[in-house]
Amino acid sequence: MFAYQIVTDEVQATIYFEGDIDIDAGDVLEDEIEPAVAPYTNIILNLEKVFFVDSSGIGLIIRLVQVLQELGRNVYIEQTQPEVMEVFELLQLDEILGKEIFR
Amino acid sequence: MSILIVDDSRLNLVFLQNVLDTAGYKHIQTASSAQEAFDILSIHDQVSPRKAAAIDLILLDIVMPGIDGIEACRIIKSCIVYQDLPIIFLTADRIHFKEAFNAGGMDFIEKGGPDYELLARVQSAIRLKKEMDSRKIREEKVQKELQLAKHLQRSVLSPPINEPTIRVHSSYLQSTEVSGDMLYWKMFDPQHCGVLLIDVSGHGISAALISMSIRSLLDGIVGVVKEPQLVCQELNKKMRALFGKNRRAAYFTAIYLFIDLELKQIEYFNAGHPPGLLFLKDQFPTQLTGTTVPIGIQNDMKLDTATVTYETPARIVLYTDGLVEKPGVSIHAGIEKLEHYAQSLHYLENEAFVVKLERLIQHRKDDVCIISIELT
Repeated sequence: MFAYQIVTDEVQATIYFEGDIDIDAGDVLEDEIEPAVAPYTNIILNLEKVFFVDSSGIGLIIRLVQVLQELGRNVYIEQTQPEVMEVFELLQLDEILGKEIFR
Repeated sequence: MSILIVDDSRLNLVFLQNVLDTAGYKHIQTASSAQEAFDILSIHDQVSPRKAAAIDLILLDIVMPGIDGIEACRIIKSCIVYQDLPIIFLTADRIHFKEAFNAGGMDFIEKGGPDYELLARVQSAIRLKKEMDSRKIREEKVQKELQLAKHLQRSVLSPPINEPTIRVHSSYLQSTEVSGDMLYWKMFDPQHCGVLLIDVSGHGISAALISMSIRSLLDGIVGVVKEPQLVCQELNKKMRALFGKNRRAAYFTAIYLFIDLELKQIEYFNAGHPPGLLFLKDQFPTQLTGTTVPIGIQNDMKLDTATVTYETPARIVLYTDGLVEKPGVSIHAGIEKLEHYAQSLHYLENEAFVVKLERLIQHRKDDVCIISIELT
């Protein structure tokens, strides 16, 4: 089960994800989350409550971050669970999205 | 559409047949007892026939001498071929309802009720049966197609290598019928061998389409350029050209080994793939860890490779993440478990060794592929 909540102020949007990020999260990420956060300068993906991201989910995160980065937004991923971080490291996400993205 | 009416009262049989006939239902059979109904349905000694009789709906009286309607319904429903056959009970008394529904009846008609009620219930039961039948046919067709695709996909896998100095075996497990994993190996000459394992993101048909289209290019890539750096570059170029314009990021992780049997040296690239494991006698396994990002994500990906040497006898295990990954659990823990287990099986010959490793599979939601390379 995948859920999310977006908290915003004037310049910043934080997306709190909850549950597994896999192929089932695709439509929500693309059709709801992406347009909702795109106008903000700083965008934070909070993964504190995400315990599993499969390969499709990683594809979705890469695409979301890249689209936002191309719009000139500052994107950050924070509070990643250690087991999820292991998968990110395996796939060299820092190399793809930039080391400064994780905090 | 064929309807079977079962009732011990001749009067009722004639009446119901008349109403249905007038409404346009021409294929009607009647039985005056449960046993007679079983004969029509080819149910003998409560054993399901292999093929269902051409009946689309049963109207079944509850109170009958001998086997009553509820017991008859239970027996009919216990036959696999009649599990989806709708049965409507005929009754004069609501006292039987609970039992009747428990036995597998889908509806009831009160005797003496108006004709339109009878016809409405019959019509909706038949409509449902038709819908279920066509869905079943569709599903069977898809399943057959998938089975064909499964065999097709397995047929392109490289056959085992059994040479004096190198043996390569694999285990290829498709989570649905088709897989996003693909393996490929080739002896370039008696001293050089290339082994590639890829894992397309996601699983199921879309991942399999990508893995198969990449497979068709491998003779022209691995077979020609051989060296890890060039193989990586070519794979990325092709992947970007084929699937780079997709709305969703299509990518695959891969590990490719170029093994020099003379120099006892392996040059490899690992593109975001779980580490390959090199087992040497009396030593901790060496991990062939990531050298670059997954293939298909960046136009200009870095093309780093790494080199390791080995002493014989040695064994290398390559695998896709389905073997070591479990939601919510550290993948490193899964890899460590694999290392221990593989080490404990060192005495097995290569083919049996691969089969044993399948035991580690945590959940069959993902495709799994395991390759073992034995070097002597």
